[in-house]
Amino acid sequence: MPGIERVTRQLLDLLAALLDAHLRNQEVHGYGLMKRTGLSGPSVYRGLDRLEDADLVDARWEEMPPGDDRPRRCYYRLNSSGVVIAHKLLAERRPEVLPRLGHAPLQPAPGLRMAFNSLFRRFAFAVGSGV
Amino acid sequence: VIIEIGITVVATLLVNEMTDISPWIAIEFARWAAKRIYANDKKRMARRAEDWESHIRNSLPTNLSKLCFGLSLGCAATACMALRQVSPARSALRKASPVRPTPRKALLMALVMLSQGRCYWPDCVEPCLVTVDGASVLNLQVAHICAIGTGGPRYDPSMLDLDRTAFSNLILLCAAHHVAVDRDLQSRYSATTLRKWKSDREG
Repeated sequence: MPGIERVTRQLLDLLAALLDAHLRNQEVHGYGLMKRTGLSGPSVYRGLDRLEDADLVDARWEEMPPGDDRPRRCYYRLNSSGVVIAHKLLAERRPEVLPRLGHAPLQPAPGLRMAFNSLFRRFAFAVGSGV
Repeated sequence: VIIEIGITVVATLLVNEMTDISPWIAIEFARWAAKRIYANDKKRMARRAEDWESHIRNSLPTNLSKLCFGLSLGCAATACMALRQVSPARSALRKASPVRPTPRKALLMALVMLSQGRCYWPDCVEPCLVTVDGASVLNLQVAHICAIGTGGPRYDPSMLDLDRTAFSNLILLCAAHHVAVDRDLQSRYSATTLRKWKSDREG
C-alpha cells in the first residue's frame, strides 16, 4: 500500500471534507465534495484518484430504483486506514480545523449561491420550528 | 426600430438554443476527458465518466455551470495529455516505481552524520563511508527498525507508512549485523533494543 506522496493544500481540504462527512456518518458524492471544499471538479477528482490509489477511500454506486435511467451517483467515504491518516495529517498541518469537524454547521464554500442556500435553510428552519 | 427588435429576438433565440445544447456539450466533454485522463485504467474511466455525467444531469443547477464543469474537465484532460507527451519516461517511471520506496538523500545524509561514522550495532567498527577511486561510498545498509512490509521483522501494523519510512525508524547497519538483526521474525533484537541503539548513538 503506497502512502500519499505529496500532501497538498487541496488534498488537505479534501481530507477535511471527507473526515467531516465520516464523523457525521454520511457519504458524499463528488459534487458534494466540490461544494464543501470549494475546489474545482478536476482538483477534487485528482485528489480522489490519489486517495484511491493509496487505498484510503472506498467508493459505492448509488442504488437506483428500477426504471430510473438517469446516471448513477458515486459516493465516496474514508475507510478505516483513511480515517487514521486523515486524522494524523490534519492534526499535523491543520490543527485548528480538526476540532470543528463533525460539530459546527457545514461551512459553505464562498459563492453567492451558497449564501442563498444557507439563508434559505435558515428560513426553512425558522418556518419549520414555528418562529 | 423593427430591425433592432428583430436582432434582439434572434439573439435571444440563439442564446436559448446554445444553452439547450450546453448540457449535451458538457457530457461529451466529460466522456472525452475521462477517456483521456484514465487512458491506462479502463475501470476507473467508466466509473468517472458515469460519475461526472450524474453531476451534469442531477446536481449542477444551471446550464452555464454544467458547461463550465465540462470545459474544466476538458482542460484538465488536455493538460494531462500534454504532460504525458512531455514526459513519457517520467510517467512510466512513476508507474513502475518500486513497492519499497528508497530512503531520500536527505535522510541518508542525516543518518551518516549522526552515526559517528560506524555501524549502529554497539561496538561494531565497520566504517560508514569508504573511499573507492577517490570518492566516498556508503558502506552500510539502511535498516528499518520496524519492517516496512507486512510480516517483516518487528512489523508494527499500527504504524503509518509515513512513519515506517521516517528518519525515526531508520538506522545504518553493516551487512553482517543487518542479517543478524533481521534473521528471524521472532528476532532477539526487539524494536526497543534497536531504538535504544539509535538514541544512544545519535545522542
